[in-house]
Amino acid sequence: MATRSVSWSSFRRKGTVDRKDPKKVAAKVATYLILGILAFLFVFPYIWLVLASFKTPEAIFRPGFQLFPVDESGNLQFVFVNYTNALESLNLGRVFLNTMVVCVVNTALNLILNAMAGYAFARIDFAGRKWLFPFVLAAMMIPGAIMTIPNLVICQALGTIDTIWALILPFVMSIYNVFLMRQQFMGLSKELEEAAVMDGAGSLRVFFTICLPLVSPMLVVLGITTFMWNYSNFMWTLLALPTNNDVWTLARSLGELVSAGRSDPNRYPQMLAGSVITSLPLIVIFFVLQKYILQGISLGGVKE
Amino acid sequence: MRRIELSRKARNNFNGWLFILPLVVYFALFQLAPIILSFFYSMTDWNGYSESYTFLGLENYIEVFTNPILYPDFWPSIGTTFLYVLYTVPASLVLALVVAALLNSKIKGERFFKTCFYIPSVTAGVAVSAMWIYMLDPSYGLVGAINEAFGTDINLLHSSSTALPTLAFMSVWGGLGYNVLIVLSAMKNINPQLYEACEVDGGGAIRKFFHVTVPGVLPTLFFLLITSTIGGLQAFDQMYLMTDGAYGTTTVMLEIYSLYNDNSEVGMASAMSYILFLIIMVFVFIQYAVVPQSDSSGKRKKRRAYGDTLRLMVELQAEGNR
Repeated sequence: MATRSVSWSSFRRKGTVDRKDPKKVAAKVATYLILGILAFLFVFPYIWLVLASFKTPEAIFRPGFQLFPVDESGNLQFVFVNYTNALESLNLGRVFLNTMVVCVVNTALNLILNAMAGYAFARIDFAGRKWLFPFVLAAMMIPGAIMTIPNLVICQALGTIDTIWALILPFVMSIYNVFLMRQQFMGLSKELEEAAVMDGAGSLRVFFTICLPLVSPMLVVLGITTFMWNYSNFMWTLLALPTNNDVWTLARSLGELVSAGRSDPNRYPQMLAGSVITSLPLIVIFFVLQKYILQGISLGGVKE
Repeated sequence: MRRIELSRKARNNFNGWLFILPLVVYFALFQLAPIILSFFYSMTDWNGYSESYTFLGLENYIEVFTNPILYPDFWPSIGTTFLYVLYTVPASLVLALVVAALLNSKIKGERFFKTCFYIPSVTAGVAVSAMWIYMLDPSYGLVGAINEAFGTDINLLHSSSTALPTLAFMSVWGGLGYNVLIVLSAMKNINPQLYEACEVDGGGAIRKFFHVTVPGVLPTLFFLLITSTIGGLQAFDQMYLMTDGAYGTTTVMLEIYSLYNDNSEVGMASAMSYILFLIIMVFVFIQYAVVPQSDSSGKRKKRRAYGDTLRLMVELQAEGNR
């Protein structure tokens, strides 16, 4: 990690632009222009969505382009009526609680269980490791959506359809993340562990007090992505929770509102407010943990 | 001495299986059992709730291809899905390459731009769909404002010629930030000396791009090609939420969904899942066979490409393996 950041900065210094070359200045201007327009295309829909969600329903359905929420005489007018309506039709209190339970439980279990399995594959020489691992690799090849119907069949057999267990049990681990954790542990130097074993520490203690802290950057990235995935997961909730809206998640509940809004524009005001409510938590998490998320990509390359 | 060795082995076995036990249970219950059970049901006419069903052998697999009266939407859904992949994947890759190259040209505010592009990737797909439904509405949204101003009658989601391309555009928009981040991180790992060498040879910016940058990120692009093809072949959420499969947007996953949900054809839905799985595998193998992993052979290069791919797979999970 350290060596790379050094080479990055030296790379940047070398590449400082020669400001006098008009061709290069023009290229620079064009670059900023293109990126600026693109950035606008990415941010504008969100600005528009948020502003629209504070419009009165009457203003939402007024023809013509109006960015800001204004009343008929053109004065700014922010209202919260769409939000109060959305709270009710989303059943927000309940579904938010469900979403948090599912996300927190799945993230916590994923981190610990994936790490344990990954550690065993990387470090513990137990009987059966050699023939067990190919199964993990094979399972990794199967795309997620393909497992939807098979997993529904199992959940039916277990009787978990329409219960919150259907959102938890199939997602307490991720074979793919087991593989990533194994890669992480294989990249650690063995010396620390060996020293601890010499001191008489057992596998469990070595794992929890020495190895797990060493891979914590990876745990942060996988934790964030697991949380976000469970938060946004829609297709599975649609099929596994067909009728019992007491266990719906935020995404599932908003999905119901969106399906209704698609054919009935009268639902737009609520739908817009509901989208803002649903998007907000992840966007806040993103801005708070931005550093980790944007750096997450290079993490797998730490060991070299 | 021997006794110590033995007890150590026993302890390793005990600890190893203790650590691996959750995985074994999970794997058996939510990977192996579903695959086996649903493969069995794919050879039956089970409807998901009744006590009895008939064993049909491979009949479901044959029926779905050869019975256009009972399953009229299956072939078209395959065509739609392929078309969707064709619309989204090349555009996504080319755009990601260009935008990453722009971001890599020592500009200020790199992080600001990255953040802007990445926001759709951290927005729940359902909320993104809601936003676009409103924007594209022919009477009230942004498109509505255009229709009002120019007297046009644009309704992108309600026309067979524009619905699928519109969904594809949304998908490219939504995935760009993630793709750019991945390509950019590969670009930053290109050895600066390669650029200098190219410059010494008299190469300009364009030559550097095609002779150093593109070959340098080729393994990464290849990785994105595979993962976005796999993702595109499984497209569902957008189609379900925004068009409900109307106007030529019924993908295979949507067809599987409606067979399961609306018709209770668990057997047939399972069979179709297996067919889709085979299609995906065929695509992956074709891409492995046709696309070179690295610009030239040699073990070192190959291993590097493999390492790069692994590194990038970390972020794959960010997109939920879709």
